[in-house]
Amino acid sequence: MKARWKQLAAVCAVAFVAWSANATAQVLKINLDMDPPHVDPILYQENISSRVLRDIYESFTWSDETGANHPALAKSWEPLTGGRTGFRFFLRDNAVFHTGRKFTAKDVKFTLEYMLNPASKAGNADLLQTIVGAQAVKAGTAKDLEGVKIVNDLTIDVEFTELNPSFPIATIQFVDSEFVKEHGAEWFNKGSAGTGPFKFSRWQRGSRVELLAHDAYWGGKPKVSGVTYLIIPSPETVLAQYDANELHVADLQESMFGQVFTDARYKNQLMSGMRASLYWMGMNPEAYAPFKDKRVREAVSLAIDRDAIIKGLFKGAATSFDGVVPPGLNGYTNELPKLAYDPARAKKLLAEAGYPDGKGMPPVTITGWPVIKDLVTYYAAQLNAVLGMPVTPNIIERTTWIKSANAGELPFFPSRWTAAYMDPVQFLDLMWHSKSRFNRAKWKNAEFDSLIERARVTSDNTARMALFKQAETMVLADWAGFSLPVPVTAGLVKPNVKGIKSSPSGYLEIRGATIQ
Amino acid sequence: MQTRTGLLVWWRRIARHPGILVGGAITLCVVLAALLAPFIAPYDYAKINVLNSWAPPGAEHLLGTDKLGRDVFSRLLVGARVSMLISVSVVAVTLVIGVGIGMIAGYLRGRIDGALMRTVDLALAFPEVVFALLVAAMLGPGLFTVVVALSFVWWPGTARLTRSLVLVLRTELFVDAAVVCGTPTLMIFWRHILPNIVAPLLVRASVGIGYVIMGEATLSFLGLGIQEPTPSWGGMIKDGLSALRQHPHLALYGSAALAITVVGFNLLGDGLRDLLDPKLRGR
Repeated sequence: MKARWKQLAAVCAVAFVAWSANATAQVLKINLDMDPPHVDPILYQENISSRVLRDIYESFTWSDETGANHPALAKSWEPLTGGRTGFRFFLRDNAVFHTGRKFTAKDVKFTLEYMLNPASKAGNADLLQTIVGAQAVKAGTAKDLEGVKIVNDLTIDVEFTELNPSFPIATIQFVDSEFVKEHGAEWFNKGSAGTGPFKFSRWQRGSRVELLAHDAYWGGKPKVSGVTYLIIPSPETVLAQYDANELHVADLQESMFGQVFTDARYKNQLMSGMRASLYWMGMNPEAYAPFKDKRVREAVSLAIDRDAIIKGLFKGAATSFDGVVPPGLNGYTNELPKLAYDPARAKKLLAEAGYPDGKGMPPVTITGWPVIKDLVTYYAAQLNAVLGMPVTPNIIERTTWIKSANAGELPFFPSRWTAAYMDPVQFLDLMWHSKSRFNRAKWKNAEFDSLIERARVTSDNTARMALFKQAETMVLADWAGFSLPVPVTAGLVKPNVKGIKSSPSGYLEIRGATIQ
Repeated sequence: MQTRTGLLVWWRRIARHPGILVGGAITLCVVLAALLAPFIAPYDYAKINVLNSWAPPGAEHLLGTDKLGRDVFSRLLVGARVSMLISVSVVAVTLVIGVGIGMIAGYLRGRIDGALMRTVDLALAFPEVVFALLVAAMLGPGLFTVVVALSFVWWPGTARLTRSLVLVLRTELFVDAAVVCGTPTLMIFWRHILPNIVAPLLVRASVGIGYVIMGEATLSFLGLGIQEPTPSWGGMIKDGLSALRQHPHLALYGSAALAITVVGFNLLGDGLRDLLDPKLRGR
């Protein structure tokens, strides 16, 4: 009798182990470089929080791996009539929040008002500035956003004071109004209030962020039961864990390209694609006097050997372009003056600016964050060697870097920008308009500002792109910034994982993933 | 004749301690490398050549190159200079502070001794990495941060050692005689106590250099220490880890340099302790 009980216990134990192994086997595991600074979709999002939040919260549209936009929470939209400027949005009728509530027009209006409330510190509030009544809500003199009118549960009008043709594709992530009201200021840590294919489950700082599949997702239930982002700062550990099958997908930092791209073991598991990002050099004339002279800024560009960076540091897994609107975007052009490597001309320009061989230039630091330490060291050494410029590398923690850069405190820095959506306004407007808080180089040009402001309200796409091209030419002619080589998006994907795609956003698209 | 005989006796004692010979030889090599680095390094340690990234050891680059194409051998030599500079600075600072506090505490005793030793205990409670983080947050990472952080961590041990030595010495008759004669306290410290505690402190200093070099490598490995483009062995090991599988030379050579140097100083310190300990003389 005792023997029988023991046999039964053993069978149950084996069954439990098999069940639990099976239950966890369908969770997709992918790495993150560091903890996201937050999981609030309303706050300003940098790359890490964007990666996590983009599959939890949705906008009116989403973009696929080619950068093309598709309807998401808005099935369609049309211009307003009756002399009003703006759009009428027809919302998706089968979108359900993670809380179980249906997504309605009330949630759209709530999210827009919430973003304009200064207490929310919304990162994309600038997108809503021209909505009628926005200024009153921002100032706290009104709670109701006058320009947003709920027609019915699935129809909403958004009226602007001036044209805003890119509003439908703007990244505005809508939240469950009832959940937010119920849980107050820290609602995003208490649950998941989005409509995306995955819902936020848990965040163990320093360890992992866990998402679960949203069974009622309008686009179809995900084929994996969840996603776990393992926080692994060290690139070597990422590879080691991938090799040990503790990761299904290894999102690769560029410091790992040399190793991975040349290792035959990974040949059939490597996924890479072009990235619609701008890597550029910021030179802040307000923080370093020599940068006030355009010739100095041009000399810095001429002293940088982009081919050597691509071949030597990225092992060929990078590209270079001449403008500041990257390839893959509507509005990209390759008919721009070539960015050359010309040390002789660089020295000549520096001498003309009054700094022969760098003499007379005050010492300056070029500031980056740990992942790009090698690039920063390269730039400093190269500028020392070619121009005699007294520049030393300075590496600071990334969140500190972002704050300092946005505050205009950094005199000299390599920077990166990936668009939230594939429109030149995301680069030219956000990065160089004098009033943009992301104008890290603090470059000011009234004529440029005027071009951008006209482009914002031009609905004819051809005319709009022509304005952007003029604006881009202005940035380049004044050497407000110049592009640097952009590494590809690359990742390793286990052979039994399908449906992962690289996208020009710089992220690996995982919502269609399956584990066989 | 007597001097030559004395030197011969010392040499015979040293020869009986192979640890001193080996440790001394290693230490001498490291010190010479550090002093002569600017003259013997085949390349400028900061000169980059990204098209020659991760070159293996060979005729052109004796120990290969790193990710930025910089010569590893040259960077190891300059790294030795940095390590020696920091370790000598830290040991010098901690000797001054630790010996001073230890002598005062051990000689004067009472409340002063109690207060100073509680301060020592408090300082000992701080792990060096935590303290280095605090200092780096205030001062920024760099050489000064490393010296401050390691000095703060190392001086309490010196103070405690000094105090225990002084506690014994202060009961000696020659010290009592000096007191009875009205010799000022500072003169007693200088003339009677300090000369009699030099030997054990010398041992601590030589062992300490090894620990400080390891401490500096740890802080640089964590990104709190020496910043680019100045090389440090800890920083080189960290950079080498990212390519350990395909290009192990950077991490391995950096680790070997560190290990050999620390072992050398430890052997020297152990040997000096045996040599200078009167109880062990004649062995």
